[in-house]
Amino acid sequence: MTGKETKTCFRSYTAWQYQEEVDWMNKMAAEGWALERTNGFVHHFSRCEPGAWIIRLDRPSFKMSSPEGQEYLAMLHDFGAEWVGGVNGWIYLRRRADQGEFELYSDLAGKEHLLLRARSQMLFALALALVGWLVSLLLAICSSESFMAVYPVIYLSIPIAVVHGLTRLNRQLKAVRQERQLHE
Amino acid sequence: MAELTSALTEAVFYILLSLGQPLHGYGIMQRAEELSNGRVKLAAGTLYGALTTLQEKGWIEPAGGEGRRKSYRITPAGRAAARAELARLQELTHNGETIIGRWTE
Repeated sequence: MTGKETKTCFRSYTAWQYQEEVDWMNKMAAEGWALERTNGFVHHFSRCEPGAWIIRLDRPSFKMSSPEGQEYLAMLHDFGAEWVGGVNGWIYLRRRADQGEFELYSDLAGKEHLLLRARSQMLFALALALVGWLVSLLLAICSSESFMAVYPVIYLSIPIAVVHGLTRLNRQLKAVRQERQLHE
Repeated sequence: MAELTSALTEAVFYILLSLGQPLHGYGIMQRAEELSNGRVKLAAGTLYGALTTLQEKGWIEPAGGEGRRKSYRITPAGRAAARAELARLQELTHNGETIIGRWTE
């Protein structure tokens, strides 16, 4: 084999973009780059047969270091999946494509719970962003420096972005719930 | 017999059917696939979540295991729940056959 055998990409996605992230990693796999390890920002890939791996993201309700996490990892291992990294409660998994389809949730309830866990994480992020914005606003009011007025304007973009993400996630949740009214 | 107010999910029903003998997660997935002639493919996340809920309800219990891999078996309460679901499905089938059977188009 010629050319580069490994590749490192720096990319970060938010919780509401997890599907875009999965799509990107699978596109890399389709182009012959297998995800080897990641911390959610630095992604290491190695050369593989195009389409040899399927990548999935999950957000379990427990820590992977807990007994539940260890049992879940053992089950994933039995299913042929490999853990390749994690960040903020999200875990990155891969499985060889020749083992067949690879989905983590075969029911709508599981998909709904995954979206609810992502939403909880985003609500926490929204609370933090609002606190940050309020602090910047108070500092701007109390300060005699006129340039301080810029910070609340800048900080306001963070809660706005999170609210935008929450709206997208709520739309996905609504679609799954509508589907659940018809099928389990 | 356990009184059920709503239907069991297909995943839960097949897990209960699979646990006549102690099995670990992957074994349950294989058994459910075999029982349904390959139609029901339980994914790891769905299976793990259902096993946790079923244990909390007392419908299944741990039956040993090796290392991090636990085996489970059905309990008397789990058998009662499966029987109640079967009765519900039979009623569904009976009503469906009776009414749909009369449809002419």
